[in-house]
Amino acid sequence: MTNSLPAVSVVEGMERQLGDAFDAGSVFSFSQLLTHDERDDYPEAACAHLVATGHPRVMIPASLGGDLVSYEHLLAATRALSRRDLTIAVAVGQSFLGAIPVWLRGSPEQQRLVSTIIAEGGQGALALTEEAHGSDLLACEVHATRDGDDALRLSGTKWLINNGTRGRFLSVFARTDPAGGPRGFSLILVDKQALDADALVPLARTPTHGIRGADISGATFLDARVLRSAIIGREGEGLELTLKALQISRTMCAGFSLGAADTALRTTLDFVVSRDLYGRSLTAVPLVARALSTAFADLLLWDGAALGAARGLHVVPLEMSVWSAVIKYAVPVEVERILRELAVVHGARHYLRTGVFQKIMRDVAVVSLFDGNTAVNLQSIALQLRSLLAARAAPDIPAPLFRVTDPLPPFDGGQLDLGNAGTESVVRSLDSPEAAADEARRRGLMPAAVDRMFELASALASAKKALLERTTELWERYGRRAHASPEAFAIASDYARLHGAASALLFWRCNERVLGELAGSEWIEVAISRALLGLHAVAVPPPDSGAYDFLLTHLLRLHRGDLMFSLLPARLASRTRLPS
Amino acid sequence: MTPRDPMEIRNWLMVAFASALKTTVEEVDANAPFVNFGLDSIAAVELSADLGDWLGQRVSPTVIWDYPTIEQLARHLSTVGGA
Repeated sequence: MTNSLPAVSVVEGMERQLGDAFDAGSVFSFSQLLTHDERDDYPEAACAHLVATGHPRVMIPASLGGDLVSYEHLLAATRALSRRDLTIAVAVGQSFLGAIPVWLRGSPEQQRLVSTIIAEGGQGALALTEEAHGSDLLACEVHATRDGDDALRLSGTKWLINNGTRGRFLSVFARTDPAGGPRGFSLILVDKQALDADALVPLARTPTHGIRGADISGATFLDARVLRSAIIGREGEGLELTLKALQISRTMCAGFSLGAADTALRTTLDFVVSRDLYGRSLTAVPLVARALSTAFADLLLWDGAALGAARGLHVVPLEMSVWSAVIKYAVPVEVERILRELAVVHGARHYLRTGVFQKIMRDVAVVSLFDGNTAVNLQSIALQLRSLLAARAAPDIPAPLFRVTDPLPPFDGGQLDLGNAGTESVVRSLDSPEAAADEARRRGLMPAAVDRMFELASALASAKKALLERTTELWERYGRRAHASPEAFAIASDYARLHGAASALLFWRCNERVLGELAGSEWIEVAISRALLGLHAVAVPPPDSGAYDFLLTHLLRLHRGDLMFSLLPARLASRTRLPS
Repeated sequence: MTPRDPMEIRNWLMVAFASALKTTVEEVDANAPFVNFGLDSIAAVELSADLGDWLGQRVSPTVIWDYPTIEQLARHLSTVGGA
């Protein structure tokens, strides 16, 4: 039954095309991709294989003839690719980010141009940042001035742009009103092949700590002539369109981190199951067993949160300004933390450049930097804390939001907005802690487990109340300056973790059939109690001791079966050789 | 949703800014751009949430960008479906 879910079918389809990741003869093998990374080389052969198998069509909306049926599909594809190599996955993601404004507000001609470029394997980019002011978009200096009635002249330099040189199309954020302000900027679709010679000078590639083969470069525009019709949407719509595009890409970024984490956990397990220490299997060492089961539980929590968010784009687009910031802040930093804990299990081997684990740790660190870094996303949340936490009658959660077997409505980009205006379906669900206990009882769980579910859900509700009190007190103290205070960032961080925990609980509540074994209380108890610890909540009920053993057994079974470490496990390409 | 009187909205905004700026309503210039009050484009998100809460209808932050004085915003929002 789960085979028809995009989270499973998309991954399985791609895995069949990408082949055995452990077969050193394959262009998509970990070892070949590691070699490219060592040499700072772009993984050309692997990317050519992707193009040949038609993968780029997943970036093109189905309405324009592509394979982008839903954001569940794209999240799954991102994850499958990220399992193999983040350099490739991020390059694909950047082309998609450059295309999003065109999908949202582009003219038919612009949409035709970009879909043709992408379908043929060409790349693109959203060109936002400049060296003097990265996240401060309103300080942007690249500008476009009128040249007659039907043209513009584009000048200035965009810096640290992935695909900056390889990319054929650039969606360039440019100042179109010298006075600036929120309506002073436009996104301009630049087709490099349509520019005059010498209108653009590429910047040299910048070497980076991770995704070392990536084309991180940029472009200097020298009074480049572009048609007015190259403006995406209306003049002055640039900031609004960029922020809306980022709501989509930030949500999809979870796929980068979760995909990479899957490989990190898999290689850790390869090591653990093959190793005996002190006269017994490494899995029998309590510290190791605990580290693996808790890493798995945490990964599944953010898996559930990401799956919900991808559906959120379709079901509650109005809520995505906050939800995308939650995902973009929390998933990358949480995955980095999980990897650091797994590195301890791996021991010295994680540090060796002959292994893929160190590469993943370096690669994954980039995700919290782009498309709005940690601080930017926390600021977005902080600005809306008061309206988000204000007590309101909780409506029933729309069923299609977390129930993955429910069909999704088509995505409507016109429903995206730059603020939630207090509408929020996930954290609000915590106001009814009895719902989790009712579901546990309905599933026939033991009375002790039902009671524990109620305690955990109640603790989450108390944590929400504590956040509201801290927020109220902070705004009383600082007034309108409160959102910029360090305390506001701390509350926003806690809010994001609370949101993640609430998402996981909703996923658990709404998906009994597809969850199978994980529909019991073991996973959700461990995940929520750990989330509560992270929130420094008082009186956290400890999970049942058997829950950790259950999780480890489940994890080992997925590992033996070459299945993705997910709430919805997809079958991965079988290994034809044992790992060395 | 019945439209509010523009004067009501204007007064709500005057009081909100006076309180935020720790000054009196008389000192608040209804024709000055919001940026003069230190309300930048991202802080518009907060104002739009508070305003929408009071009005009982969603106010997009972009509306504040497009009508960037108290006077303009009040007049715009007082029209039916002015969000």
